[in-house]
Amino acid sequence: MSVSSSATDTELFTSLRGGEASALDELFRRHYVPLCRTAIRLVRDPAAAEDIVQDFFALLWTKRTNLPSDTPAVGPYLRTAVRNRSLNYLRDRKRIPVGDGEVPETAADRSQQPAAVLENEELQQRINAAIDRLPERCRLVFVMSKLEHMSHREIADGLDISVKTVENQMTRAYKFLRQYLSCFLFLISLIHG
Amino acid sequence: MKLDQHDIDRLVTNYREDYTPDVERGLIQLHARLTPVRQLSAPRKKRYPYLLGAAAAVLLIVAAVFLFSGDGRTYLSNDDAPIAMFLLPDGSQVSLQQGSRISYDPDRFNEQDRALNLEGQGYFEVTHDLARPFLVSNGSSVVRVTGTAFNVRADADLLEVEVSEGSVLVKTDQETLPVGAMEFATVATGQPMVHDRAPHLNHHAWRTGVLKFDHTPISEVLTYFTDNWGIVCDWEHGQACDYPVSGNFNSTDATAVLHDIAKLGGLTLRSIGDDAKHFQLSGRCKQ
Repeated sequence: MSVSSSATDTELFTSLRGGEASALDELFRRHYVPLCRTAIRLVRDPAAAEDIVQDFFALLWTKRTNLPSDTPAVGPYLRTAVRNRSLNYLRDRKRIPVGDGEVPETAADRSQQPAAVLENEELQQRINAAIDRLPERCRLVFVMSKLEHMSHREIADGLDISVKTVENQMTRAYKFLRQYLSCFLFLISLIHG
Repeated sequence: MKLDQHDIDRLVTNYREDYTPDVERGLIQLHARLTPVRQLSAPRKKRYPYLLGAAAAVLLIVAAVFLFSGDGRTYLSNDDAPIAMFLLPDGSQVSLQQGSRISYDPDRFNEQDRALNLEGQGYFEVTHDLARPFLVSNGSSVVRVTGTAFNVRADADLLEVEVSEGSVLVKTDQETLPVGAMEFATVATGQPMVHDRAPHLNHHAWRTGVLKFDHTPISEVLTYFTDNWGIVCDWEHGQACDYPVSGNFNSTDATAVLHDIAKLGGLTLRSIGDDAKHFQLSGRCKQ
């Protein structure tokens, strides 16, 4: 028996608990890309990101009988699980920095500043690069807050730091990104009206 | 105008949204992870169905046999066909040359690692798995990878690897050597490890049917026939002739290619013995 492609995520989850393999495939097809994006924002390595998500889906199947019986918000459930597994991945490899790290000098980045006209795609790459240039702990805090919408308390617990440190890192991140991206202001106003 | 916090928040929402992995490929890899290893260890014999079509110009015959022996290991062997392809429990694929076999412990494979033994020659396309290294051993040396494609020839005293994609680590008790794409390495008992470029991947010829030479000494050319097909070629009266061979040869018939190469050098090739594996070269070669 296969599941209907019109089934809701909650219905698919219920089918998965009942051992329906096609429900796993359908959930995978729906959520693989966004979950890989969640993972890569934290671990930065595409192969590791795919590995983490595939491993998680394999676990969903092998532990299917232990899945929560009524899961109305399947997407957030999956996303939280992948986020936690990504943090575990970093922790296992001792890749969660204990120090603040140095924020790079924006003045030294003149060579990377844009020409008068940039394509949207190139702008996106510049934004990716700007975030990637943050010191790693600062970057993780910023990504967890602004992209993963985690509270400062959740971030502090996840990275084993204080809430005050989270706040400091957010301030550093905004300061650097404001300086780094300010030169795109004209273009931003064009793209976003 | 200056960026405020809301501008920053709006800009960063698409961070890494340009990353789009291949969903169907990911699903195949997931299915490979879910292949139940223990199900394979059922004590029975069966034909193994995973024989795939290949771009190789070599005729494929379904003759691979999937066996479980009394020692608890699973053996995949190719007794009859020129090439037999197998899908391993982790989703990796191996092409075995005739007369070759691999074995692994079905209770441990794909748990902490993916360790197997090879006797003969095989081409491996290994699925990426950072957590479980893929290990090919001949009992004394090991090729270690996390995901790539490479050819291995192994017996008790020799392990030779030629890499077509990615890189591998060749490990012995004494040393560890990284071997990159288009390179090969050989470990032979009592001899130093050999590591060199392999721009033409001639050790893959048993599978691809393609040999490429560019001013390659005939002595080296003949080693490829030995390594790929077990063809041994001697010189009449032990008088070796050394001349360079150039050209691309694409054929399923290794003996015919050897005849062509002999002719190009002004030599005569004749079969000695009746196993179509032993030949003798004679005549005055063109220097």
